[in-house]
This record gives sequence, structure tokens and C-alpha cells, in this order.
Amino acid sequence: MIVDINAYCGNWPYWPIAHKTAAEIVALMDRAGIDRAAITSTQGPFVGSPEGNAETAYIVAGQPDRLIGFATASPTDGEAALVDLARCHDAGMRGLRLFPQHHQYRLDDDPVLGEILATVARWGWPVLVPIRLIMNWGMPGFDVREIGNLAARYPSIRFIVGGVNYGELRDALAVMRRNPNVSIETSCLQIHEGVKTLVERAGSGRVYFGSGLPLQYPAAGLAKVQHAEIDEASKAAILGDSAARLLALT
Amino acid sequence: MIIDAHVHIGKAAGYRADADQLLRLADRAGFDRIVCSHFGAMNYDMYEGNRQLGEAVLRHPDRIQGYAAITSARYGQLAVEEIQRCHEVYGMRGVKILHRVGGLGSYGLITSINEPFMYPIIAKAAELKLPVLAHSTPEECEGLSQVVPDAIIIMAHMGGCPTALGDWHRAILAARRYPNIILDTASSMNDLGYIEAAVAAVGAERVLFGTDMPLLDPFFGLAKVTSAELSQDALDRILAGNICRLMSWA
Repeated sequence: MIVDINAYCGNWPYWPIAHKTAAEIVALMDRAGIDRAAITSTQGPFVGSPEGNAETAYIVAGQPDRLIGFATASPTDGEAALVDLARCHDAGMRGLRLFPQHHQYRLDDDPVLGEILATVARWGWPVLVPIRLIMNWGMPGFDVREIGNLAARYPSIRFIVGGVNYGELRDALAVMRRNPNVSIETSCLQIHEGVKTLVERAGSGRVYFGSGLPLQYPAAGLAKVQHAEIDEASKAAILGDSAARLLALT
Repeated sequence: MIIDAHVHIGKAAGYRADADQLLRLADRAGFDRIVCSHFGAMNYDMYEGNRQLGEAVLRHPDRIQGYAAITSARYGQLAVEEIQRCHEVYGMRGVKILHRVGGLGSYGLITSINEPFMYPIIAKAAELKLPVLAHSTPEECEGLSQVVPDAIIIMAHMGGCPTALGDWHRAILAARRYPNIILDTASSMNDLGYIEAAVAAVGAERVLFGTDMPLLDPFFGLAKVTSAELSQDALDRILAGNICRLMSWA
């Protein structure tokens, strides 16, 4: 089973996109051979978490066997973020994504962020933190080392660093070396032998396939894992086995 | 046939590949031929770098072609003569130029390709009918096209570099305004639909396949082109026909 840990749904404010409905997203997955995808609406980072979470729930409801909802939350929403997160949990979502560069906060000692993380820790949710939404040089980003500081304070949470490419790979590996609860996804990792490097330095169990669909070509994201010079068990782990376990997919 | 028209040979920070290593990688990726520029020629010593590339071209004439690189346009007449020498001695059929930035991932230009120092060099390339692979912004390519309209300018990365902010829309607009501008697919950028948009705007005969290996993953670079929704005729042109035409390479 191929599981995409980093997919999206919703509108794209920078240019028109072709795949917005649940059926269109699943058709794109089918063309690439992706079985399941964890999605978050782009309304989350660009409009607000409650609006984004409502859209994520709506899209997942259209294809519940193929799509998994990841909520987003921001400490800038104050205590309301916790109420909205509870709704997401009740709706069956299975993970959280943080977008500090879009919601304009930092991953330091924010008390509301602490409550958000304590809440998702109780549910056993992974927390995916993309340092950029897609591998486009115009996207806002932030320093991957901030995620390390956060992960050190919440060792029971599985953090997944997202959006890393060649410029951040060494820092990301350092964060992973210091924090065994930090993993990484591959949606923006275009460097030659990037997947192989991750497997050698961090182990295949800490690497998840992410595509960034429907904003990025999913087949290109798959190709770099499928053609990586790593053993077949590692490929299987990255492409889906580890995500299936993490998200309790059957 | 598949030809990767954007490859680097030699050594740069974190990357190293000689001709044999590149051809092995090309074989794995299914590339019949590659067109290289030398890291050292771009970044330190054009004479030594071009000499090493020239030897590779002479040793593998059926598989490797070369872009003669200049370290800086401010070498003036020496750079003009170096291009001519590389063409005559090694049979190189292209020229590589780049703007200078402050460092990896930098958004600030130190030198531009569109400055008077560069014009005689590009005029020489046009006289010799050598396409110019230009790591640059769309606006720089436009400026160069105004001054030397006979030159063939291959816009490296199609906006997919930090200084161009990943703005492939601007790249396409530049290519629409100036028929001598060709768009290169080599980039970390993976925005779904951008290759189709380029083909729709300027025609498949002005879009060129490249991967930027060994910096970037060649399987990734190939898959985003082959998974784009294009006709077989368009794919054939992008993957091989165009560079053969531009370099008169049978």
C-alpha cells in the first residue's frame, strides 16, 4: 500500500489548480498509484484553521476510504483552537499540521501551542510541520531547527519534518539525530540520493513518502523513492508501511 | 531517445561526479546522452574546468556534449576567446553563463547576466550558433534577448531558482515575448501543471528536458516531464529533439 503523508486539498491562491474535489484528488492519486493520502486544506494556512479543518472534513467525507484528514491549529486562535481540534478529532482526523510561517508565530514557548500539543499527544496524533508548502522558491519558510527545539519539549509526540530540500537537509538530519521522535517526509527532497542519505543516516523507519499533491506532480515524488538505491524493505517502509502503522490504517 | 540537457561535471560543495560516474547514472535513469557544464569552470577556473569537460566530450562523443562555461563575464575578451577555443578544440556546442548570488539559496544578485560585459560573449555564441544555458531570472533573459536577439537563450530552471522566486509564470511570459528564449525543466520545482503550461504557451519545441544532476535526482526530473499531460510528439521534442536541433547533434 502506498500512503502519501503530505497531500493537500482546497484552493491555491498563487495560480489555478485542476484537482479540487475529492473525486479529482483521488483520480490524481489513481494515476500515480497512490492508495491513501493524508490531506489538509490550504484554507488552513491561508485563511484560518477552523475554515481549513471544515473543508478537510468535507473532502475526506467524499472519499473516506482513500483520504485521511490532518487538522491544522494555530496558537493565534487562542483557546478556540482547542475547541476546533476536538471537533476534528470527533470527525476522525488522525494528525496535526502546523504552519507557523503562515500563521505568524514561532515554535517557541507559546502557552496555547503547548496546550494544542498536549492535546494531540493524548490522542497519539503525529504532528507534521512543513517548512515550506511546496518546493517552490517563492514559498515562505522557516528554520528547520525550530522543530528540533519543539520536539525536545514533547518527546512523546511523533514529529514529521516536511518540505526539506538540499539547503536544509544537513540541519534536518541534525534535528533527527538529537531527537528520536523526529521523522521526515519527502515531498520537497529533490537532491540526488536524498532518500538514500536519509535511510543511511536516520533509518527507513523515520522516512515517510509525501507528494504535495495536488500541488505537485505526484509521480515525480514517487520516482525518487522508487528508484532510490535502498533495499526493497526500506522502500516499502517509506512508501506506506510506516505510515500505515502510524495512522493505524487497515 | 532521452537527452538530459542540464548536467554538471566536476566538483562543487557537496557534489562530485566525473564522466564515468555521470554516464553510469545516466544509464540507470535511461538517458542516452547528457549535456554538461563543469562546476569548476563556472565557479573557479574556466580554463581548467572546460579542459576537463572537453576531455570528457572527446572521450565520449556519442554520449556527452558540453557547454563551455565562463567564470565571469568580466573576463571580457578572454571569455570570448575561451568560448571559441572550446568550440574549435573540443567541439562544444553550447555556452553556460550564470549570475552570481550571495550563497546557497540566496535571493540577492551580485552580478547579472544582463550587463554590458556579457554582450560580446553572447554575440560570439550567436555567431557560432551555440545555444546559451543561462542560470538567471526571466527579466535577465529578456534583457539579453533585446541586446543580442540572434542568440538562443535557454533559461535554466524556468524560474525555479531562488532569485526568480520560483515564478514560472514570469518565465513563460518572457519566452512568449522573445522567441529566442527556450525553457529548461531542470529544477527542484515540481508545481503540478507548470510543464503543460509552458508547452501550451510557447510550444513543445521551446521546452527542454534537463535534470541538474548530480545536484538533483534525475529520476525525479524525468518523472515530472513524463507524467505531464503531453502528447508523444511533444514529449519526444522535449526529451531529445529540441537539444539535437539546437546543437545540430545528429
